Amino acid sequence: MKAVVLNQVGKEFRYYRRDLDRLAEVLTGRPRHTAVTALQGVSVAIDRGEVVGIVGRNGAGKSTLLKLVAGVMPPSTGQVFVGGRVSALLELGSGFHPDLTGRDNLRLAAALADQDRADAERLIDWVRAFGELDQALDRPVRTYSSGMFARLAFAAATFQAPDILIVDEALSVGDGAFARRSFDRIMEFRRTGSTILFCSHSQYQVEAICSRVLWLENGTLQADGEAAGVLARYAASLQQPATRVAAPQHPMPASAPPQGSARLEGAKVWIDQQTGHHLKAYCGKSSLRVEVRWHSDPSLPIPSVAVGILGRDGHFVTSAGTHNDGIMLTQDPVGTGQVSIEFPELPLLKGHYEVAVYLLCEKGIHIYDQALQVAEIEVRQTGLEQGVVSLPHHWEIR
Amino acid sequence: MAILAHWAARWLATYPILPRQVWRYRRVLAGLVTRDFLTRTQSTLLGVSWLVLQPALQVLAIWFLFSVILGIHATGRGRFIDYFLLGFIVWNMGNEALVRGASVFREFASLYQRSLFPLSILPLVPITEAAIVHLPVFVLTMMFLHGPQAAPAALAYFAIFALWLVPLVILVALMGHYIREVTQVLPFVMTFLMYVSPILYTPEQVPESMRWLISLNPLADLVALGHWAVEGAALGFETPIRLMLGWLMLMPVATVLFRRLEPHLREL
Repeated sequence: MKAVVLNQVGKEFRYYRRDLDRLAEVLTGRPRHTAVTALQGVSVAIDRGEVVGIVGRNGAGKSTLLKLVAGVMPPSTGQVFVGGRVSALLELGSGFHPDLTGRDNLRLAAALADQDRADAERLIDWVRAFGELDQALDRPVRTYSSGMFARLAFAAATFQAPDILIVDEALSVGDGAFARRSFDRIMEFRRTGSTILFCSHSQYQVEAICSRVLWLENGTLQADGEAAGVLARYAASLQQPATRVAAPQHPMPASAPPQGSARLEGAKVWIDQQTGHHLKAYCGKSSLRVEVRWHSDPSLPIPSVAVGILGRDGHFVTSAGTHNDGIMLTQDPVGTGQVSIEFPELPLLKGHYEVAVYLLCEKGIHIYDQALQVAEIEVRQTGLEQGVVSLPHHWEIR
Repeated sequence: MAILAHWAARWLATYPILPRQVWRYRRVLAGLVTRDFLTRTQSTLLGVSWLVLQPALQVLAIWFLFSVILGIHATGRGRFIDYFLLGFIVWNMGNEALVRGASVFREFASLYQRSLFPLSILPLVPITEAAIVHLPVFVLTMMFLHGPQAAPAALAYFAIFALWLVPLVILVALMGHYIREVTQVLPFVMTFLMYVSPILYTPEQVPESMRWLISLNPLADLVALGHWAVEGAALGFETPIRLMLGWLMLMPVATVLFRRLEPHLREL
């Protein structure tokens, strides 16, 4: 049974010089617009219970595709079939009236879903608890911060399990604790068989959550298939990976983590006996060690840690994670812990590299915190080997 | 013939669209109206009572001015105040619905752009609000002036007047969204419409050579219908026919134009 079917779907946006031109075009039938194609000939069939990621550069047509599935706008060409109740988190603030209070907006949302007063009150109670918006619910939503807005919108959209959940970058706002809760909620829907369409610039999250990925490029479907394969091709096509652009270097101030979340308290990189931000190493001789300290809400499961080594262009050369390697971390009763990882006889070839550290949930999926460019390493070598890594090898003369 | 039948069928099919939407989203409409009433009167001592008190006090002031201070009585149709108040209250209601309607799509843009909000009910918000505010004043005033037996007729007439406004408010809302000047010009147009309609004067007081102009003014027909319904004044058969044909023409035009512009409204 299909949850979503797109058949040769296209969407063209029309741009008008003045508002009046729209009216004139409708009244006279004479075109007065400049057309921009956002989507073209997209055909996709998504089964019930599938978790599908959508990736692509800015302007590739990801949000347009999600809006068409959500029914917010009609396609210009082709057909969209959606089988089931859709809940969509499209844009921050969409569907909420800024002058109404959070409570009134929720009542309106309940009325839109044809729910009676008792259902509306249940929705309000749920949003208050899940979004932690006690007093704020009685304030106009125009006074909300982006994080509060995200909590209101996410909690309202996920009050009841939808048949199809559409999430467009919704998890990129909101504090760490809420991001964790909303992430858990999405995973809960995944377990209970909801179809999920997830759009994110975080390739890591897409790969962690989704079994299948659609890659859009200039409004056309570039690839559709198993997540790891499509993401690898997508990553290769990028000149500037999104992680480098999106995430600033982490200051890591020593403070208590927010409730329901965790944060990095420190990360130190050693090359042999030296530590610092700019380090020098020798290929095959130096030893790289990364020490990581974190502080987590003790009520949460103990987090996992990952370390990445990236090239100057931001591409991952390699990474290692405690969850992936089956390492169970420990922490003290207040939630602080420490771990280190060592890469002996560093096999990197000459060049400049960066070390990044990630603090993730116990399943290694949700990123609580990250520190990019913890250290920059200049690797030197004695030979003339080319590339980024010297793989273990042996020659056999026959 | 087949083509004519096809177009007639399409024309007729436009009428049930709005009632279906209203019924489906009645809770949303009620929610928007209630919220607006509470917002408009928040922090006042008398709360929502002000919504009805305002037009009621206005009617009282007009009655005091014309009946007590100026003592204007003669209209050829009995007391001037009886004649004037019927037209004035319904004009006031129409004025409020249309002027507010001109900006209703802009006002609620955040609700429907990029979300699944039923746009078609928005033009009904100003009509519903104006009707709720002015209906009690109208019925009570008619009962006060003509006796309790005037209540059912006043109620029925008010409902017809509100229904007649629906396509007009939809059209004004669409125009107001795309042509900002509409919101500036409309209050003047409405005031002008009151002066050229037989509200302050009777049709008989208009020079005979200019009376044909009145027949071009739907507000004049609506007011004449009210005097017939509530006061039992004479009414030519052409008045209800003009009103009915006018509404039957306007409603599909408004519906079709709305449906064509709806995707544009959402994408703007």
